[in-house]
Amino acid sequence: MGALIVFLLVLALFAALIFVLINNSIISSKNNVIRSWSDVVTYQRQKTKLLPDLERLTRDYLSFEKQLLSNIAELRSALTRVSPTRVDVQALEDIETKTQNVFSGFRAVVEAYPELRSADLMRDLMAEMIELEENIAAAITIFNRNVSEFNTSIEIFPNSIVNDMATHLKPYPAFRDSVAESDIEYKFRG
Amino acid sequence: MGVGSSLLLVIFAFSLPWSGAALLLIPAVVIGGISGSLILSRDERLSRISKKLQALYEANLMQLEAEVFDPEDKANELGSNYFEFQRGDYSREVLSLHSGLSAGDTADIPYQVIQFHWVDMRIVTRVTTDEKGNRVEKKEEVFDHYYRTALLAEIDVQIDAYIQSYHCESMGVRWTTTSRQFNSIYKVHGESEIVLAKLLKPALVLLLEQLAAEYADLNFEFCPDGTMLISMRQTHLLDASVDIYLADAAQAAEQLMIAASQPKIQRILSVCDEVSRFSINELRRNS
Repeated sequence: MGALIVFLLVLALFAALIFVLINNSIISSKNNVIRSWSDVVTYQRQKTKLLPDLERLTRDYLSFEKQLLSNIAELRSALTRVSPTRVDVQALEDIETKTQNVFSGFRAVVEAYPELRSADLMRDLMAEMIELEENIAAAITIFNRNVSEFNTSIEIFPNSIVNDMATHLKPYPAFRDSVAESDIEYKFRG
Repeated sequence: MGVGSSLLLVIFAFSLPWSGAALLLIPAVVIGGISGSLILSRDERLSRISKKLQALYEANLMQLEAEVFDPEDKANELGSNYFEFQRGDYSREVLSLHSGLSAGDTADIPYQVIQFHWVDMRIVTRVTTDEKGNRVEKKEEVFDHYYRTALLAEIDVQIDAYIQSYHCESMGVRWTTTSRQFNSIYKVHGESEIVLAKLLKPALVLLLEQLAAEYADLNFEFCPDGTMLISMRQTHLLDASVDIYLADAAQAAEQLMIAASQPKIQRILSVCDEVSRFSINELRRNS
């Protein structure tokens, strides 16, 4: 009888230890998602540093390009709405769409004004934009990977039990680039 | 020709009585031996010259200049700046060092390709049984040899940072990126978290992850003197896709004249380009 109690106690302790380990791994995984999200937001917000130069160029050279200036204002407003601590993929998609609008509008006006291409400010700006976009794309790749790891960690057994009992976390949506996806003919809808 | 005639002599000798056969067999063996050794020595000479030409071709490809040095002194000299060359508790030596210049995307990158060899010594205890059945312990020195390839490049940033695929203590502040995959491959240390955060931009993190899949045991060391060392398990970085054979002299000469690209070295040096593009401006702006 005594041996059985000791055995049950050891078993309970072992189960509790496993429970704590899984709980901690889920929380660590969630924190990693938040950290990588915060990276994405940080790089997105660096666009605000480029916007004044972009506006200056637009005003100096292209005083009648009202649409581009309006797109820049919309992008700036969208950048202020995204929070580094709350994952909001919808807001990120909105920023990416508005960025695409600014970039495509800017490309169109550069083609219309060839003298703009030779401006030093223009060249520096384009280089910084490309660098920033590459880092944003990489940060989003890392974010999506972390989201996938986190979602798996709360859905697999026995982690799903620990999540139901203790952490109560919901899967995060991964970021999907609707602009890039629109170029692909077949879309997987899960 | 000589081998053929000696074979004919041997066949003819077997058809003769013993005394006649002996008379023919001796010159046949002598002629065969001389001809065989001449053929072997010619092949060996051709192979030696082909190897030298191959080395010359590879050096010319990168406009590399071989440096002459004392292997141990050079290892100690490099060891004063880089942890990579401090490895080996028994001995360490630089096997070869070639200097070159690569046209990078942002600027020309002077670099050196270094082959490094180090030896660790350990004592192992072997247990045997003697003829009386007693247990005998015998200590033996075992030498483990390691060969590494390193690329030392000059980049215009003075920071102290280490991105290594093995754990090493006392290298400053520890840093982890948001990528779990990267963190499982590399351990990052450096002078401060802010410098490491500025250095390891997401684009560079993904590039280093990709490189880890291409080269084994990669390490990156950034030295405050403005250099960067990229080291890996011994790898033949020079383009080995063209083999020079002296047997076809015309083709060999043509191959020696061709200027070929070096995809492996360019790929590794792309890290320097990416560091320049993504991180150096940032590090300078905030220094």
